[in-house]
Amino acid sequence: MRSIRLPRRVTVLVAAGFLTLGAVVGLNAGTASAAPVTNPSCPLKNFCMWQDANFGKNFNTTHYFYDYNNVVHNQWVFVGNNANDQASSFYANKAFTTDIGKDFIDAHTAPNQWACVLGGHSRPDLSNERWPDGSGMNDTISSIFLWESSGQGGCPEVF
Amino acid sequence: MIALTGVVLAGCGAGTTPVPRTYDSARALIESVAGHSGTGSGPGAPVHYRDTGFGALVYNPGTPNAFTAYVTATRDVTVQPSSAASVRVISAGTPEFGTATDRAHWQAAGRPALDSGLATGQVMADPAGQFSFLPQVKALTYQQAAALPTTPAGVLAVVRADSTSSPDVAPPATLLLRQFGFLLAIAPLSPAGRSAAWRALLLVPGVRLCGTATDLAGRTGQGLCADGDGYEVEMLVDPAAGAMLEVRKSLTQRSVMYPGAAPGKVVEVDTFLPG
Repeated sequence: MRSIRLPRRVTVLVAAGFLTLGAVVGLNAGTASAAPVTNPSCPLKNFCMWQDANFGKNFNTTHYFYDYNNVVHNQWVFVGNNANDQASSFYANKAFTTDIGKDFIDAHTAPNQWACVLGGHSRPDLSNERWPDGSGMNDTISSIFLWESSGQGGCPEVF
Repeated sequence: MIALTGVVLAGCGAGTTPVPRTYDSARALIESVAGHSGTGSGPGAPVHYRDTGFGALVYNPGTPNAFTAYVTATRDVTVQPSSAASVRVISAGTPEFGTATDRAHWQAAGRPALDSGLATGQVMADPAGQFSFLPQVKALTYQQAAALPTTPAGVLAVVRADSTSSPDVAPPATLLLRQFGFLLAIAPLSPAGRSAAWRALLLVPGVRLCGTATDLAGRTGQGLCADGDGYEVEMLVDPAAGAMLEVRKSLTQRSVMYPGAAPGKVVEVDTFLPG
Protein backbone atom coordinates (compact mmCIF):
# COMPACT_ATOMS: atom_id res chain seq x y z
CA MET A 1 0.00 0.00 0.00
CA ARG A 2 1.09 3.55 -0.55
CA SER A 3 2.93 5.26 2.24
CA ILE A 4 1.74 8.61 3.45
CA ARG A 5 4.09 11.47 4.12
CA LEU A 6 3.27 13.39 7.23
CA PRO A 7 2.48 17.08 6.96
CA ARG A 8 4.96 19.32 8.63
CA ARG A 9 3.75 20.33 11.99
CA VAL A 10 3.94 23.70 13.62
CA THR A 11 5.57 23.79 16.99
CA VAL A 12 3.64 25.62 19.63
CA LEU A 13 5.26 26.73 22.81
CA VAL A 14 3.26 25.86 25.85
CA ALA A 15 3.88 27.25 29.30
CA ALA A 16 4.84 24.77 31.97
CA GLY A 17 1.74 25.56 33.97
CA PHE A 18 -0.49 24.70 31.07
CA LEU A 19 1.33 21.42 30.64
CA THR A 20 0.18 20.20 34.00
CA LEU A 21 -3.31 21.64 33.74
CA GLY A 22 -3.79 20.13 30.32
CA ALA A 23 -2.85 16.71 31.55
CA VAL A 24 -5.29 16.81 34.42
CA VAL A 25 -8.20 18.25 32.48
CA GLY A 26 -7.57 16.04 29.51
CA LEU A 27 -7.63 12.85 31.53
CA ASN A 28 -11.26 13.36 32.36
CA ALA A 29 -12.17 14.45 28.87
CA GLY A 30 -10.51 11.48 27.30
CA THR A 31 -12.25 8.84 29.31
CA ALA A 32 -15.74 10.23 29.72
CA SER A 33 -17.46 7.58 27.66
CA ALA A 34 -15.31 4.63 28.50
CA ALA A 35 -14.90 2.03 31.20
CA PRO A 36 -13.85 2.83 34.74
CA VAL A 37 -10.64 4.71 35.25
CA THR A 38 -8.65 4.56 38.44
CA ASN A 39 -5.75 6.93 38.22
CA PRO A 40 -3.55 5.31 35.62
CA SER A 41 0.03 5.63 36.71
CA CYS A 42 1.96 7.38 34.00
CA PRO A 43 4.83 9.77 34.64
CA LEU A 44 4.36 13.36 33.53
CA LYS A 45 5.43 13.99 29.93
CA ASN A 46 5.10 10.30 29.12
CA PHE A 47 2.96 8.38 26.70
CA CYS A 48 2.06 5.15 28.48
CA MET A 49 0.68 1.86 27.25
CA TRP A 50 -0.38 -1.23 29.16
CA GLN A 51 -0.39 -4.81 27.98
CA ASP A 52 -3.80 -5.32 29.59
CA ALA A 53 -6.98 -3.27 29.66
CA ASN A 54 -7.89 -0.84 32.45
CA PHE A 55 -4.28 0.32 32.74
CA GLY A 56 -3.24 -3.03 34.14
CA LYS A 57 -5.00 -2.62 37.45
CA ASN A 58 -6.55 -6.10 37.55
CA PHE A 59 -3.47 -8.21 36.88
CA ASN A 60 0.32 -8.03 37.00
CA THR A 61 0.71 -6.62 33.55
CA THR A 62 3.60 -5.00 31.73
CA HIS A 63 3.67 -1.21 31.47
CA TYR A 64 5.43 0.67 28.66
CA PHE A 65 6.41 4.29 29.34
CA TYR A 66 7.72 6.59 26.58
CA ASP A 67 9.28 9.71 28.04
CA TYR A 68 9.18 12.88 25.95
CA ASN A 69 12.65 13.69 27.22
CA ASN A 70 14.13 10.36 26.17
CA VAL A 71 12.30 9.32 23.01
CA VAL A 72 13.06 11.13 19.77
CA HIS A 73 10.42 13.64 18.61
CA ASN A 74 8.84 14.39 15.27
CA GLN A 75 9.42 11.02 13.72
CA TRP A 76 7.88 7.61 13.88
CA VAL A 77 9.42 5.31 16.47
CA PHE A 78 8.98 1.56 16.70
CA VAL A 79 7.54 0.79 20.13
CA GLY A 80 9.98 -2.08 20.68
CA ASN A 81 9.82 -5.82 20.16
CA ASN A 82 8.17 -6.75 23.40
CA ALA A 83 5.69 -3.89 23.22
CA ASN A 84 4.78 -4.44 19.60
CA ASP A 85 1.12 -5.41 19.12
CA GLN A 86 0.65 -5.66 22.87
CA ALA A 87 -1.12 -2.52 24.09
CA SER A 88 -4.66 -2.79 25.39
CA SER A 89 -4.89 0.62 27.06
CA PHE A 90 -3.03 3.92 26.86
CA TYR A 91 -2.75 7.28 28.55
CA ALA A 92 -0.96 10.36 27.27
CA ASN A 93 0.11 12.17 30.42
CA LYS A 94 1.50 15.07 28.47
CA ALA A 95 0.29 18.23 26.82
CA PHE A 96 1.59 17.61 23.34
CA THR A 97 -0.12 15.30 20.90
CA THR A 98 1.08 11.74 20.33
CA ASP A 99 0.39 9.70 17.22
CA ILE A 100 -0.08 5.97 17.36
CA GLY A 101 0.47 3.73 14.34
CA LYS A 102 -0.75 0.29 13.44
CA ASP A 103 2.53 -0.54 11.74
CA PHE A 104 6.05 0.80 11.59
CA ILE A 105 7.43 1.60 8.15
CA ASP A 106 10.29 3.99 8.81
CA ALA A 107 10.98 7.09 10.84
CA HIS A 108 9.57 9.47 8.24
CA THR A 109 6.73 7.49 6.73
CA ALA A 110 3.36 7.32 8.40
CA PRO A 111 1.86 3.89 8.88
CA ASN A 112 -1.11 3.04 6.73
CA GLN A 113 -3.33 3.37 9.76
CA TRP A 114 -2.60 5.95 12.39
CA ALA A 115 -4.41 8.21 14.81
CA CYS A 116 -3.71 11.06 17.19
CA VAL A 117 -3.96 11.03 20.95
CA LEU A 118 -4.41 14.49 22.41
CA GLY A 119 -2.55 15.48 25.51
CA GLY A 120 -4.12 14.13 28.68
CA HIS A 121 -6.37 11.69 26.90
CA SER A 122 -6.60 7.98 27.57
CA ARG A 123 -8.41 4.85 26.56
CA PRO A 124 -8.81 2.06 29.14
CA ASP A 125 -9.87 -0.67 26.74
CA LEU A 126 -8.69 -0.68 23.15
CA SER A 127 -11.01 -3.53 22.29
CA ASN A 128 -13.61 -0.76 22.03
CA GLU A 129 -11.53 1.32 19.63
CA ARG A 130 -10.88 1.16 15.89
CA TRP A 131 -8.42 2.52 13.35
CA PRO A 132 -9.69 4.82 10.60
CA ASP A 133 -10.24 1.82 8.30
CA GLY A 134 -12.48 0.20 10.89
CA SER A 135 -10.07 -2.50 11.98
CA GLY A 136 -9.69 -3.22 15.68
CA MET A 137 -7.04 -1.35 17.61
CA ASN A 138 -6.39 -3.74 20.49
CA ASP A 139 -2.96 -5.37 20.44
CA THR A 140 -2.05 -3.65 17.18
CA ILE A 141 -0.03 -0.52 18.07
CA SER A 142 3.47 -0.74 16.60
CA SER A 143 4.71 2.83 16.47
CA ILE A 144 4.35 6.25 18.07
CA PHE A 145 5.16 9.78 16.97
CA LEU A 146 5.72 12.45 19.61
CA TRP A 147 4.64 15.88 18.43
CA GLU A 148 6.40 19.00 19.59
CA SER A 149 3.08 20.73 19.85
CA SER A 150 -0.50 20.19 20.82
CA GLY A 151 -3.23 20.18 18.22
CA GLN A 152 -4.77 17.73 15.82
CA GLY A 153 -4.25 19.17 12.35
CA GLY A 154 -4.08 16.47 9.70
CA CYS A 155 -5.08 13.69 12.06
CA PRO A 156 -7.22 11.01 10.41
CA GLU A 157 -8.68 10.11 13.80
CA VAL A 158 -8.44 11.77 17.19
CA PHE A 159 -8.59 10.30 20.66
CA MET B 1 6.99 -30.81 19.78
CA ILE B 2 9.68 -31.73 22.24
CA ALA B 3 8.61 -34.15 24.95
CA LEU B 4 10.24 -33.53 28.30
CA THR B 5 9.85 -35.64 31.34
CA GLY B 6 8.73 -34.20 34.63
CA VAL B 7 7.91 -35.84 37.91
CA VAL B 8 5.20 -34.62 40.26
CA LEU B 9 3.52 -35.99 43.32
CA ALA B 10 -0.04 -36.95 42.54
CA GLY B 11 -2.42 -37.45 45.42
CA CYS B 12 -6.20 -37.62 45.69
CA GLY B 13 -7.43 -36.29 49.00
CA ALA B 14 -6.68 -36.76 52.65
CA GLY B 15 -4.99 -39.96 53.62
CA THR B 16 -3.76 -40.69 50.15
CA THR B 17 -0.08 -41.36 49.83
CA PRO B 18 1.35 -39.15 47.12
CA VAL B 19 2.36 -41.20 44.16
CA PRO B 20 5.15 -40.02 41.90
CA ARG B 21 3.82 -39.60 38.44
CA THR B 22 5.71 -38.98 35.26
CA TYR B 23 4.44 -37.08 32.27
CA ASP B 24 6.26 -37.61 29.04
CA SER B 25 4.32 -35.16 26.94
CA ALA B 26 2.06 -32.15 27.13
CA ARG B 27 -0.78 -34.38 26.03
CA ALA B 28 -0.31 -36.75 28.94
CA LEU B 29 -0.33 -33.86 31.40
CA ILE B 30 -3.34 -32.13 29.86
CA GLU B 31 -5.36 -35.32 29.64
CA SER B 32 -4.59 -36.02 33.27
CA VAL B 33 -5.70 -32.58 34.43
CA ALA B 34 -8.73 -32.47 32.13
CA GLY B 35 -10.13 -35.51 33.85
CA HIS B 36 -9.97 -33.78 37.21
CA SER B 37 -12.96 -31.95 38.65
CA GLY B 38 -10.77 -28.92 39.25
CA THR B 39 -10.72 -26.30 41.95
CA GLY B 40 -12.19 -23.24 40.30
CA SER B 41 -15.52 -21.56 41.02
CA GLY B 42 -18.54 -23.02 39.31
CA PRO B 43 -21.11 -20.91 37.50
CA GLY B 44 -23.61 -18.96 39.59
CA ALA B 45 -21.50 -17.98 42.59
CA PRO B 46 -19.22 -15.00 42.96
CA VAL B 47 -15.62 -15.72 42.09
CA HIS B 48 -13.01 -15.00 44.76
CA TYR B 49 -9.31 -15.32 44.19
CA ARG B 50 -5.98 -13.84 45.17
CA ASP B 51 -3.45 -12.86 42.52
CA THR B 52 0.10 -12.28 43.67
CA GLY B 53 3.13 -11.67 41.53
CA PHE B 54 4.95 -8.94 39.72
CA GLY B 55 4.94 -7.01 36.50
CA ALA B 56 7.48 -4.95 34.62
CA LEU B 57 7.55 -1.19 34.22
CA VAL B 58 9.43 -0.71 30.95
CA TYR B 59 10.65 2.84 30.42
CA ASN B 60 11.69 4.24 27.04
CA PRO B 61 11.70 0.84 25.38
CA GLY B 62 14.02 0.51 22.46
CA THR B 63 16.02 3.66 23.29
CA PRO B 64 19.55 3.94 24.70
CA ASN B 65 18.05 4.97 28.03
CA ALA B 66 15.69 2.03 28.30
CA PHE B 67 15.34 0.57 31.76
CA THR B 68 12.99 -1.71 33.61
CA ALA B 69 11.73 -1.84 37.16
CA TYR B 70 9.62 -4.59 38.65
CA VAL B 71 6.74 -4.14 41.04
CA THR B 72 5.31 -6.86 43.24
CA ALA B 73 1.65 -6.73 44.17
CA THR B 74 -1.05 -8.90 45.70
CA ARG B 75 -4.70 -8.34 44.92
CA ASP B 76 -7.85 -9.90 46.30
CA VAL B 77 -10.49 -10.00 43.62
CA THR B 78 -14.21 -10.72 43.81
CA VAL B 79 -16.21 -11.00 40.61
CA GLN B 80 -20.01 -11.05 40.68
CA PRO B 81 -22.12 -12.92 38.11
CA SER B 82 -22.86 -9.51 36.60
CA SER B 83 -19.12 -9.23 35.92
CA ALA B 84 -18.89 -6.37 38.33
CA ALA B 85 -15.68 -6.74 40.30
CA SER B 86 -13.89 -5.46 43.35
CA VAL B 87 -10.11 -5.42 43.29
CA ARG B 88 -8.44 -4.81 46.66
CA VAL B 89 -4.69 -4.26 46.71
CA ILE B 90 -3.43 -6.25 49.68
CA SER B 91 0.13 -5.17 49.16
CA ALA B 92 2.03 -3.18 46.60
CA GLY B 93 5.79 -3.08 46.67
CA THR B 94 8.16 -0.35 45.63
CA PRO B 95 9.40 -0.73 42.07
CA GLU B 96 12.87 -2.29 42.01
CA PHE B 97 15.45 -2.37 39.27
CA GLY B 98 16.24 -5.75 37.82
CA THR B 99 19.91 -5.03 37.18
CA ALA B 100 22.59 -2.42 37.76
CA THR B 101 22.24 -1.53 34.08
CA ASP B 102 18.63 -0.60 34.68
CA ARG B 103 19.63 1.71 37.50
CA ALA B 104 22.35 3.32 35.37
CA HIS B 105 19.91 3.93 32.54
CA TRP B 106 17.38 5.36 34.98
CA GLN B 107 20.01 7.82 36.17
CA ALA B 108 20.86 8.70 32.57
CA ALA B 109 17.17 9.23 31.85
CA GLY B 110 16.99 11.88 34.55
CA ARG B 111 15.87 9.72 37.47
CA PRO B 112 12.14 9.81 36.68
CA ALA B 113 9.75 8.87 39.47
CA LEU B 114 8.88 5.18 39.53
CA ASP B 115 5.25 4.42 40.20
CA SER B 116 3.17 1.36 39.47
CA GLY B 117 -0.09 3.12 40.23
CA LEU B 118 -0.93 0.64 42.96
CA ALA B 119 -1.09 1.37 46.69
CA THR B 120 -1.62 -0.99 49.59
CA GLY B 121 -5.24 -0.84 50.73
CA GLN B 122 -6.44 0.63 47.48
CA VAL B 123 -9.81 -0.69 46.30
CA MET B 124 -10.85 -0.49 42.69
CA ALA B 125 -14.18 -1.42 41.17
CA ASP B 126 -15.27 -2.59 37.77
CA PRO B 127 -18.93 -1.84 37.00
CA ALA B 128 -21.22 -4.63 35.83
CA GLY B 129 -20.10 -6.18 32.57
CA GLN B 130 -16.58 -4.84 32.78
CA PHE B 131 -14.45 -7.53 34.38
CA SER B 132 -12.81 -9.87 31.91
CA PHE B 133 -11.53 -13.36 32.65
CA LEU B 134 -9.21 -13.02 29.67
CA PRO B 135 -6.49 -10.45 30.36
CA GLN B 136 -5.84 -9.37 26.79
CA VAL B 137 -7.69 -8.23 23.66
CA LYS B 138 -11.45 -8.77 23.96
CA ALA B 139 -13.36 -9.14 27.19
CA LEU B 140 -14.86 -12.41 28.36
CA THR B 141 -17.48 -11.70 31.02
CA TYR B 142 -18.68 -13.96 33.81
CA GLN B 143 -21.73 -15.06 31.86
CA GLN B 144 -19.74 -15.68 28.71
CA ALA B 145 -17.23 -17.76 30.64
CA ALA B 146 -19.96 -19.76 32.31
CA ALA B 147 -21.54 -20.44 28.92
CA LEU B 148 -18.40 -21.54 27.13
CA PRO B 149 -18.84 -24.47 24.76
CA THR B 150 -18.19 -27.90 26.14
CA THR B 151 -16.01 -29.12 23.31
CA PRO B 152 -12.28 -28.34 23.02
CA ALA B 153 -12.69 -26.95 19.52
CA GLY B 154 -15.59 -24.80 20.68
CA VAL B 155 -13.65 -23.33 23.59
CA LEU B 156 -10.61 -22.70 21.41
CA ALA B 157 -12.75 -20.92 18.83
CA VAL B 158 -14.08 -18.55 21.49
CA VAL B 159 -10.68 -17.86 23.03
CA ARG B 160 -9.08 -17.40 19.61
CA ALA B 161 -11.79 -14.98 18.53
CA ASP B 162 -11.37 -13.04 21.76
CA SER B 163 -7.59 -12.94 21.33
CA THR B 164 -7.31 -11.04 18.08
CA SER B 165 -8.50 -7.69 16.83
CA SER B 166 -8.72 -8.97 13.28
CA PRO B 167 -10.13 -12.29 12.08
CA ASP B 168 -7.31 -12.34 9.54
CA VAL B 169 -4.63 -12.42 12.22
CA ALA B 170 -4.15 -15.61 14.24
CA PRO B 171 -3.18 -14.97 17.85
CA PRO B 172 0.24 -16.38 18.79
CA ALA B 173 0.53 -19.45 20.99
CA THR B 174 2.06 -17.35 23.77
CA LEU B 175 -1.01 -15.15 23.94
CA LEU B 176 -3.37 -18.11 23.81
CA LEU B 177 -1.48 -19.85 26.60
CA ARG B 178 -1.69 -16.74 28.80
CA GLN B 179 -5.39 -16.39 28.05
CA PHE B 180 -6.05 -20.03 28.88
CA GLY B 181 -3.98 -19.74 32.02
CA PHE B 182 -6.19 -16.99 33.41
CA LEU B 183 -9.35 -18.68 32.18
CA LEU B 184 -8.51 -21.95 33.90
CA ALA B 185 -7.33 -20.25 37.05
CA ILE B 186 -10.19 -17.89 37.77
CA ALA B 187 -13.17 -18.27 35.45
CA PRO B 188 -16.47 -19.77 36.65
CA LEU B 189 -16.41 -22.70 34.28
CA SER B 190 -18.82 -25.61 34.33
CA PRO B 191 -17.14 -29.00 34.84
CA ALA B 192 -17.66 -29.80 31.18
CA GLY B 193 -16.43 -26.38 30.14
CA ARG B 194 -13.35 -26.72 32.32
CA SER B 195 -12.49 -30.12 30.91
CA ALA B 196 -12.98 -28.79 27.39
CA ALA B 197 -10.81 -25.76 28.14
CA TRP B 198 -7.96 -27.98 29.30
CA ARG B 199 -8.24 -30.17 26.22
CA ALA B 200 -8.40 -27.10 23.98
CA LEU B 201 -4.73 -26.61 24.87
CA LEU B 202 -4.03 -29.76 22.88
CA LEU B 203 -5.19 -27.87 19.82
CA VAL B 204 -2.82 -24.93 20.30
CA PRO B 205 0.27 -25.50 18.13
CA GLY B 206 3.56 -25.17 19.97
CA VAL B 207 2.40 -25.88 23.50
CA ARG B 208 4.96 -28.17 25.08
CA LEU B 209 5.85 -29.71 28.40
CA CYS B 210 8.65 -27.75 30.04
CA GLY B 211 9.41 -29.40 33.33
CA THR B 212 8.75 -28.97 37.02
CA ALA B 213 8.80 -25.57 38.70
CA THR B 214 7.77 -23.86 41.91
CA ASP B 215 5.42 -20.90 41.96
CA LEU B 216 5.71 -17.77 44.09
CA ALA B 217 3.55 -19.41 46.75
CA GLY B 218 5.95 -22.34 47.02
CA ARG B 219 3.72 -24.83 45.27
CA THR B 220 5.24 -27.29 42.85
CA GLY B 221 3.72 -27.83 39.46
CA GLN B 222 4.31 -28.94 35.95
CA GLY B 223 4.94 -26.40 33.22
CA LEU B 224 3.30 -26.00 29.85
CA CYS B 225 5.18 -23.53 27.67
CA ALA B 226 4.89 -21.69 24.39
CA ASP B 227 7.69 -19.77 22.67
CA GLY B 228 7.43 -16.20 21.46
CA ASP B 229 9.91 -13.90 19.78
CA GLY B 230 12.57 -13.72 22.47
CA TYR B 231 10.35 -14.76 25.33
CA GLU B 232 8.43 -17.70 26.68
CA VAL B 233 5.06 -17.95 28.40
CA GLU B 234 4.60 -20.72 30.93
CA MET B 235 1.52 -21.98 32.69
CA LEU B 236 2.25 -23.92 35.85
CA VAL B 237 -0.18 -26.73 36.58
CA ASP B 238 -0.80 -28.83 39.67
CA PRO B 239 -1.93 -32.16 38.19
CA ALA B 240 -2.87 -33.59 41.58
CA ALA B 241 -5.33 -30.81 42.33
CA GLY B 242 -6.33 -30.17 38.75
CA ALA B 243 -5.39 -26.56 39.34
CA MET B 244 -3.77 -23.81 37.32
CA LEU B 245 -1.23 -22.24 39.66
CA GLU B 246 0.64 -19.54 37.85
CA VAL B 247 1.24 -17.82 34.52
CA ARG B 248 4.68 -16.36 33.93
CA LYS B 249 6.60 -14.72 31.13
CA SER B 250 10.37 -15.02 30.86
CA LEU B 251 13.03 -13.95 28.41
CA THR B 252 14.69 -16.52 26.16
CA GLN B 253 17.23 -14.07 24.77
CA ARG B 254 18.62 -10.66 25.64
CA SER B 255 16.36 -7.76 24.78
CA VAL B 256 16.87 -4.03 24.49
CA MET B 257 13.56 -3.78 26.32
CA TYR B 258 15.09 -5.33 29.41
CA PRO B 259 18.69 -4.06 29.46
CA GLY B 260 21.00 -6.23 31.49
CA ALA B 261 18.49 -9.02 31.92
CA ALA B 262 19.85 -12.43 31.02
CA PRO B 263 17.89 -15.12 29.21
CA GLY B 264 15.71 -16.91 31.73
CA LYS B 265 14.79 -13.71 33.56
CA VAL B 266 11.14 -13.83 34.62
CA VAL B 267 9.54 -10.49 33.78
CA GLU B 268 5.90 -11.06 34.64
CA VAL B 269 4.09 -13.41 37.04
CA ASP B 270 0.51 -13.96 38.13
CA THR B 271 0.18 -16.58 40.86
CA PHE B 272 -3.38 -17.55 41.67
CA LEU B 273 -4.61 -18.59 45.09
CA PRO B 274 -8.12 -19.40 46.29
CA GLY B 275 -9.87 -16.39 47.78
